[in-house]
Amino acid sequence: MYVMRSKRTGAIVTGIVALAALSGITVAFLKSGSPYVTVAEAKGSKGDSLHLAGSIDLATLRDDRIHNKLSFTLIDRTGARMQVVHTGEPVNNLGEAKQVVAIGHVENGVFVSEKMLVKCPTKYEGVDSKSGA
Amino acid sequence: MTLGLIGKGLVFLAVAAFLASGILTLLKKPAPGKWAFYLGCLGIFGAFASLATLFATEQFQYEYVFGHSAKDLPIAYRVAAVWSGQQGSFLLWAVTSALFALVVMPFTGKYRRWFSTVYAFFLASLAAILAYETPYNLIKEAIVDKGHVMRPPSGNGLTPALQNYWVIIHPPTIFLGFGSLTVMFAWAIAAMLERDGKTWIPQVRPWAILSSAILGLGLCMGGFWAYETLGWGGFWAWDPVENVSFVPWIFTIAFYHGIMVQAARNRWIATNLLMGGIPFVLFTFGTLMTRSGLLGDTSVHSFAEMNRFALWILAGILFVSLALLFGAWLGRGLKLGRESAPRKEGLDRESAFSSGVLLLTLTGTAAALGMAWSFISALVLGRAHVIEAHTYQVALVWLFIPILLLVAIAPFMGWRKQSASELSGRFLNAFGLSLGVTGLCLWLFKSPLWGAGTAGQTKPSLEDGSPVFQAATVDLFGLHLPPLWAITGLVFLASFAAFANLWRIGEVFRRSKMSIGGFVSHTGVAILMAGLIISRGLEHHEVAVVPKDHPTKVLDYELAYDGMTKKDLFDRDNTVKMKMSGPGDSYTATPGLYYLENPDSSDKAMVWPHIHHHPLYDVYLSVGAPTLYANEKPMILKRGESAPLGQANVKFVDWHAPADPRSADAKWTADLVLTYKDQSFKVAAEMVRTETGMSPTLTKINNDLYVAMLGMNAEDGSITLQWPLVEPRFPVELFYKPMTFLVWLGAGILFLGGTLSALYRRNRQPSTAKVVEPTVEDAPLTAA
Repeated sequence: MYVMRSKRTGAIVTGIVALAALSGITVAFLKSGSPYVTVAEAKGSKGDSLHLAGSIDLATLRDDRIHNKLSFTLIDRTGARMQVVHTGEPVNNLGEAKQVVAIGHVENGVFVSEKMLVKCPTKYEGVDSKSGA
Repeated sequence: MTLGLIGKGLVFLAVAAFLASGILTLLKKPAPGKWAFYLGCLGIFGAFASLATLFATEQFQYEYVFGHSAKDLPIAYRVAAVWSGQQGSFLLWAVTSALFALVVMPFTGKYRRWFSTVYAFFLASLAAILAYETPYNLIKEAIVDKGHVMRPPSGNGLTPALQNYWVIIHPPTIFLGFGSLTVMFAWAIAAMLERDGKTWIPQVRPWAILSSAILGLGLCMGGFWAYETLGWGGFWAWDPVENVSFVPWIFTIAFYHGIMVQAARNRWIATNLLMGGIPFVLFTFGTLMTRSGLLGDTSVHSFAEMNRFALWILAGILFVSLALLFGAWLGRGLKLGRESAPRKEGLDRESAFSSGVLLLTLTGTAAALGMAWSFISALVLGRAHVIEAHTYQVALVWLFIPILLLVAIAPFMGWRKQSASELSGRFLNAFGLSLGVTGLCLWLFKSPLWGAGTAGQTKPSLEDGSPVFQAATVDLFGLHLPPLWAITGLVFLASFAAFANLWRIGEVFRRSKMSIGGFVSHTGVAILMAGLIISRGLEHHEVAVVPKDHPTKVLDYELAYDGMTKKDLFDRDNTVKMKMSGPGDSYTATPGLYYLENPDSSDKAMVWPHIHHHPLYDVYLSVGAPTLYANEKPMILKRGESAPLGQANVKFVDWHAPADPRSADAKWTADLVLTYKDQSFKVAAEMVRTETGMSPTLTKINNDLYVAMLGMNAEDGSITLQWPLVEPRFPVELFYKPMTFLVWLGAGILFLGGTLSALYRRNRQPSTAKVVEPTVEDAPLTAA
């Protein structure tokens, strides 16, 4: 009888601990999840850690290491354009990047990024692949 | 042309053969079912071979080959290009799954019928995906001349960022791991349908270990690849795509530990039946997420959109496997679980295993939640949110700490009940040893000698948390602990885990040399963790500019430019020679730098870092394209106008035309005033007439700068100026990462341990014969 009860208690305690840990993680995720935005959404957003993804208009790319200036016009998936000025650590190989994610905030209509992710071109498709059978 | 058709045909053959095999096996016709299965595998392998041949023979008229290869691509990359795209990676998944099926099937004994059926239907679906998502399509706009398709001279090439030796070995390894997940899934389902939740355990055991070893190796390779590639953020970034392989790996490890409990105690029957299938289901879910565009832009890995039908088949695989797993588990698995032996109370190895499996499951679930977060948040919050690496680190550190503690203590727990004092007595030596090592580390971290090359300006002062330290620690941890304590605490945990397992290896090795695999793996994990903690936590980083002829100090190294290795800067193999002299060592670094022709704008520079592996640290250097001018674009000024030049200011005052513009040495002069920090001085930019036309003269302004007048516009009176630097300047980034070799060492040991265990637990009796459960590993524990 005692064994039965302790077994059930153990299971309940384990369940509670697991549930608590999972809810803790979920809350942490909920609190810190950073939104992915389009250009239109970014312009109306006051958030800090906005993620703006898109491609670089190469003709506008200014990548001057000596003066530490990096800026370009980003084109998001809706085709909207926005000027991005990068203020954080230098980013390499931007000329080759198919997609970048600028992380930052909007200041006077310009997206000021503190961090920039260059998309890994894994499975990057050089030609249109929607061809099907 | 024909080869592509053959490839396509082989894919259709595979679909038909696997379907036939599944149905035949289901109808209890094992012999024809088996041959149909072999035929299907032949179709898959043949399809792969024909695609590889298309690449090897440069058949650029095929869309897929055109998109992923090019004429001058080395043969190794041409082969790797096979799996560098969406279609090819599905083909690779099919190949590795089929390979595993062929190898494992003879060992499935009484479960063979259901195992083969599940496997055959899965492979049929995978082949069906390939029938839609086909790599054998010809380019639609191809020029057809007299019935012959004209072959384009070259393709788009493999993305330069992928051209690295890892693209050759990492994908096949990780996909071999993905392929192995189907084995466990099919076996778990077969065990439930066969109503025997016991016999499969010793049978599946070596394959589960092998699976986790291969997946782990693949994950580490991916980490090393990211480490060696600029801008991918070190070893691990908690990206959804990375999590797609991490999650099944963690669950496979949890499953394997569950197997050990069932093998020793005949318990956890139902749990194991479920856990065997989970890694495959989660991997399929992750694949669907990453390939379907459900993750949208929220991964740093970009994937092309998939064919809709192919996507529906993939979703079908997920839903059917999910329904099958949970249906069978609720219907049969739970019932089979009643045959489990009762729990013996007390502090013993089973309690360690339960805690471990619980912690691993929680870690896997948290990572899976993060992997799917953008999808979940888009559904619930209406907008895709992404979980950043920092949040994972803050959340998961609470799970990693108890996991490391368990890894340290559990090896000393026997299957029989122990008192807490008896247990602590056993690990006291390892505990003391790791305390000593941690003390040594603390002394090393504080010593001015630490980081031979980086003493000096960035030497961290550990007490006050200098910016270097603060940043590294917050990034690593998120706890408001003093940085030194956080790092030292983690180092202590990792070394405790390592020494405890090394201690056990020493004890067990004398009795059974082969049974040390588990302890070896644990040691590997601990060393790997220690390497990640130290190399990231104590990392130093500086961004600087090195003029061509003036050696410059960066961190504590003197960097001197020493030329390029190739004359042609468009040569992929070009590297910059940079002489590095530090207090610890001197060498010549050769980071890669070459240009890509860019039709859209100016040519773009590609850079690869140079990593100098010293036994105690890595020095990671990247050199960007040199800057030749102080101004970015030619400066156009009208009379009286001014423009900024760096921190200085330029004003165009006036200009003087020659008395006779037609004379042979006519000279035009522009008077400029350069203002810098409240000081102004006059500069004259000149242009002379030569035999070939107008030509600018270089006027030296100071030791850094020239000015040249490129042109004049008589209509609006404007001049065009260029400001060349006396010496080109190279932007450099230098990282100092201590003890990175521990990461490599740990990964190697982890794989070695997994391989040892898999060999030790390999099933030597492939049949329905009753398998006597080996308990050699446990014997010394009870004896001790």
